[in-house]
Amino acid sequence: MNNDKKNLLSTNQLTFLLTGFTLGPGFLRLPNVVVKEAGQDAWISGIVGLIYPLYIVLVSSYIAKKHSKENVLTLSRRYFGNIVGNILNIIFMLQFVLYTSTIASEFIRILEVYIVAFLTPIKICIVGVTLALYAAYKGLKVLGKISELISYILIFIIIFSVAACKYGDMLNLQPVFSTRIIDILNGIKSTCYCYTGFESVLLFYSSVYDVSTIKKASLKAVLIAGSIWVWTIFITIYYLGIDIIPKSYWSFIMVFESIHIPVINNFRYVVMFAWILIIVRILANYYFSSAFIINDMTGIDIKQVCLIMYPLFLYLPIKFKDNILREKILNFAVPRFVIFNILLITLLALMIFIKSKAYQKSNINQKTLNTE
Amino acid sequence: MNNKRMNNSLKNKFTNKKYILIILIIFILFVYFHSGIDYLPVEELGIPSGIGNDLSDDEFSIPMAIYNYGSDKKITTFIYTGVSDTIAGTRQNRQLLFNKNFRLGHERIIISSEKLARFGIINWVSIVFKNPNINDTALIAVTKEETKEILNYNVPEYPSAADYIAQMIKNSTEFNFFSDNYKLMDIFVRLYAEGRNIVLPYIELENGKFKITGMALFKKDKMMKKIDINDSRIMNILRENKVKGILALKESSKKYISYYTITKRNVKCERKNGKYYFTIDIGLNGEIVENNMFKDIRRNKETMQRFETYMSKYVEKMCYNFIRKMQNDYKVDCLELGRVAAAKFGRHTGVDWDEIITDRNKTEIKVKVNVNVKKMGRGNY
Amino acid sequence: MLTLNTRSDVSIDRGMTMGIKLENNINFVVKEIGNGSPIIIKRFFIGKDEPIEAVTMYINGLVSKDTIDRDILNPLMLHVNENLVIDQNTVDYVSKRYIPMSNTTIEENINNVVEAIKSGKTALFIGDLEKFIILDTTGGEHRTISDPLNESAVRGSREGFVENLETNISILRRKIKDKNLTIENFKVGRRSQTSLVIAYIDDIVDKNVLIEVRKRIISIDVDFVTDTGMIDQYIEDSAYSIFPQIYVTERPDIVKADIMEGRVAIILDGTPFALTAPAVFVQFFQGVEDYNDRTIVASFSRILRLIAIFIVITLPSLYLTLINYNIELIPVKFINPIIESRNGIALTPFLEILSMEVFVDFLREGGLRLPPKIASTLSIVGGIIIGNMAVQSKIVSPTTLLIVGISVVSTFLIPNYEMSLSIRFIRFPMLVLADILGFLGIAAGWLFIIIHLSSLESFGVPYFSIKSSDLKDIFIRAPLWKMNKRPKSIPNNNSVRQSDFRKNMRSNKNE
Repeated sequence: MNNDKKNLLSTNQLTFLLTGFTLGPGFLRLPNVVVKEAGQDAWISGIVGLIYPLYIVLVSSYIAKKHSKENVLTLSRRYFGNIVGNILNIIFMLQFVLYTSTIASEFIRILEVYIVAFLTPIKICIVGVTLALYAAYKGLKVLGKISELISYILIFIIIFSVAACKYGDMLNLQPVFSTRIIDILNGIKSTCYCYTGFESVLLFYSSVYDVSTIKKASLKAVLIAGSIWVWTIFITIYYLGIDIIPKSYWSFIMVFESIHIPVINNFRYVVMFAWILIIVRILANYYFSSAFIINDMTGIDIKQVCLIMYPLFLYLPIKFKDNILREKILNFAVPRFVIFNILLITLLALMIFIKSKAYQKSNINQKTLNTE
Repeated sequence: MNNKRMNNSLKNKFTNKKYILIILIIFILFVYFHSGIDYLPVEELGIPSGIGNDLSDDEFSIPMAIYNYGSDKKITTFIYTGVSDTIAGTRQNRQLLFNKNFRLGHERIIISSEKLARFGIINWVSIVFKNPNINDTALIAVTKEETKEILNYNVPEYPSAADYIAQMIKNSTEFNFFSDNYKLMDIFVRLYAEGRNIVLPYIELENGKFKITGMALFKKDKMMKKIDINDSRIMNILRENKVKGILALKESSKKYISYYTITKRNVKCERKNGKYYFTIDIGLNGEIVENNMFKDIRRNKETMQRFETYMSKYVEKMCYNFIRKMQNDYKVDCLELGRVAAAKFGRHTGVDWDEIITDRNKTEIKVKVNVNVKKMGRGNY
Repeated sequence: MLTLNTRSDVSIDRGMTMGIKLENNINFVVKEIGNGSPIIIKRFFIGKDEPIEAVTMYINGLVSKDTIDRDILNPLMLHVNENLVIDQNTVDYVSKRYIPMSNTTIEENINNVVEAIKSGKTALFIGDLEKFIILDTTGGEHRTISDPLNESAVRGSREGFVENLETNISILRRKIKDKNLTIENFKVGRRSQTSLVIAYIDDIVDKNVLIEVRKRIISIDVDFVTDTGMIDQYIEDSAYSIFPQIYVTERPDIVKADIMEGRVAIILDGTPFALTAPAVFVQFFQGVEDYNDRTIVASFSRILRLIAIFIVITLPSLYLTLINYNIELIPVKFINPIIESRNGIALTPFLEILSMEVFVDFLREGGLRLPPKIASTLSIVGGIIIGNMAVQSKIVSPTTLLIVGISVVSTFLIPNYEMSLSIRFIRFPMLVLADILGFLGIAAGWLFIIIHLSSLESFGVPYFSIKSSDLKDIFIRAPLWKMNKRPKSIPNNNSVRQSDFRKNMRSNKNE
């Protein structure tokens, strides 16, 4: 068994690793934020909003095809110069750090309310972040494996929500297509927080065993994640109706409360159990990416970086538990990060395209010179 | 040689220290995590079997029926009432009487007295919604008497009256066209949704026994009217889908025919010149349980058709009677027609569906009933 | 050194040098084997008229003396009716002519002679010749091949490995007659010099794994090795992990199946437990009968085993969480019976469950080493009487005892003893986690196990990998005739192991 195959990600693992960056706690709240803007057509916003991840994935696979051995950090240094490239990398890293903290704080909030009301936030934070540290410490391949396993569990749980179909009503979704376009566009804007995460493919495509399948794998990831999101919005509106959704802070969980199984009092707890696994997985992924970028920029061994960042990641989520602070920072940062990502990737792709065209032209010139 | 040995022993000391350190850290973590937790094992908690909501002298009075475990596996009930001007305040007040800590999660019923229902149930619904532990499948009802009286009532061989009432409401779906939409979850979904309203069973203590004597109609969160059991049956036929009950045609006191049926309901809505036209299609499918009127119904196709026509006309007549009462008297859209209209013509348009549907000039409701007989038992005596 | 030999004056010029070299050889061997070893030296003459002095040397107790008397001394002493020529072919000639034994070798290196004598062979020195005959006379008392005590199967062979290495290898060779079956010898332990053998099939095994196994075995540098358990711990990847990374078994049919999938078997002299490396997580939950029973019932037993594993690890912790923290989760119908049964119990739930678990483990550990007659008393006294009395004296509640009992019974479903020890152990940290963190603790425990398993490796092979092509054999057991390829989780060179022969059967039926 050659070492490469063992240490690099398989295609399946890349797919699930990518979904492991995006399917996080955000989508419990996804119906809330989108329905606020778009009403009962929120699922249309959900589908249209998938353009953003699709774009990122397609452009990234183009970059990956051209430079399959180097990740985005080296590339930005190469094309934009050392200093500018490093600054761009730092901004890139900042979003991972930010998202790690917000995901951890979301983790604490959900658990505090629903399961372990008797624990203080710092204890929950310690448990979650330590587990994420342990997984990130073990490296990318382990992250790929657990992402795969836990994604299967996630899909299995989502299938259970189909049971809510029995109690809902198509009437809740109607009238279709009656909201204004501006509302739908606003809805798309609010999906951004949930749909970010696919940029991580830029960091990890060099660690994939079979480079030619990156495009297919990441498209599959967008498909899986996208269908889960749209289904979430759809089934929540179907079951609850747009008037009730704002009343619950995490409306998707209410959908699971409609399932009645004989022995289990409240199916929500089974979902919560799977949820903890899912959130720690995404936390570990983001943790690892932040450490990965820092390791790339400074050269410190990645395991040391993980340990060094541990206190930071214990402090920030507690800070972000304050709802108002979190909302302010997220509202400020998320749209800007999204635009930054799109610009960065587009610029990079353009420059690669121009350079390769120039290279081709110089090749042709060489050839014509040689033949003369 | 000596240096090497010394280095080795130093290294050994260091690795030994590392393991001791790890064990120490684990121990400290254990103690840290364990401290500050106050939990009580389950036998030291009070488990409420039913919660009542009353209004007494402008203050909320919330009695709770708590299980009391005696010797020989005998379980009885204690009632503890908390009185305060806020619902959360009643918890404090109740704890002054209570010898245990109470934990929600196993209440079978949550009942309201009529007085509180007319005042508005939004208060206790919102506090219950905030608590994730509450049992979402608890059954809700409105009672005539004070809930304290109801909960205190001693039903023989039952641990508490709440268990009895819970089973009563759960099994009421067998007849009388009651649906199973009287759970707490259903209240959450219907309370402030556009075009929907709440109806709940109405329970009285009659001759020392609990009885469902009708239904309570709500407009938003306030109870508007109580309707009697005959009207409730018709309302349920018009409002709910797939409910069961018995309808009868009567010619004289000895000659009648009874029909046990399951309903199917479909609503269509049109709007012309600002006026709404609703068509309610009701399909009845069932078996004839009693037949002293049409003796040859099995053999004669015409008799069957006659029965079907008579039955559908009869039901339509009762429906129109009810709709007339609804539009003149009750003034509440209790058939959830507003929901269908909102789905077709737009939500959040500022329209008050209760007002429009109960106004005879703005709405016209048509009912079409279709009767089908599928079983007739083992013979006709 | 001159020694006076009474018969050597027959031909004194030859005799002087003859005697010297022979004595030198004998002394060398005695010195190498060491003082105090019961080496027996028998001197005798070969030949009619011009007898040549010869010596047999062996260690008492390691040989079967009948063979020596009958097949070596008898013909050499009594039936050599000619005069032997002393030249370089003499030894060869004698061995071919006068020794009616099946296993003889000619050795020129005296060190190998010493080694051979230590293994129970007999050395024959003829005169001063520097060639020696090694005769295989290993004997001595050994346990016969019997039912493996710790791993019995309802349907499967009743053979188990024994302590004698030769017998074990012979069992293996009887099962696999493929010419690619390779057996390599090693000696481990500086003082014990125990023989170790690795067995594999040359064209199936992955070379990297093989090189890794060899490297690790050669690097073992200890005084003595008693059991393969010690070898296991010396060469495994992660010594501190809970899960075993090498598979231990007493049954030759399991070893055979493992070798056929591309693994390397390690057999040690003196212990009936053989190792197979590398190991993957799922193989610890596959039992021998799974393959001997039919598809649907075997799949059913597999699924039962899976459920049992979850029950063992999670059930007591879940019960603890439900009672302590998340009471609203207890199903409404159970709440009253549980509270009634817990009324008046003296201990806190955590201590209750912990004490019962520890007590059950006491029973189990105690019963391991008892003679059978006392073991039954232990089970009655311990299990029934003490358990009953604990409930009646209100130390524990009946529900707790039921839960603990169910989880104990579930551990018996795990086929491999090492793995069942690991799983039994995991229960305790899980219980502690559930006590301090509630539901979150159970999830954290499971996460920890998953992450740990994903990062384990056994000889370079990932420990926990579920490949889609291997699913046929993990949760269910697909029909045997569908398993055409070897499992991908163990690397191998030759992946086809059977062909679609059932197709042929079915087409015959149609005709």
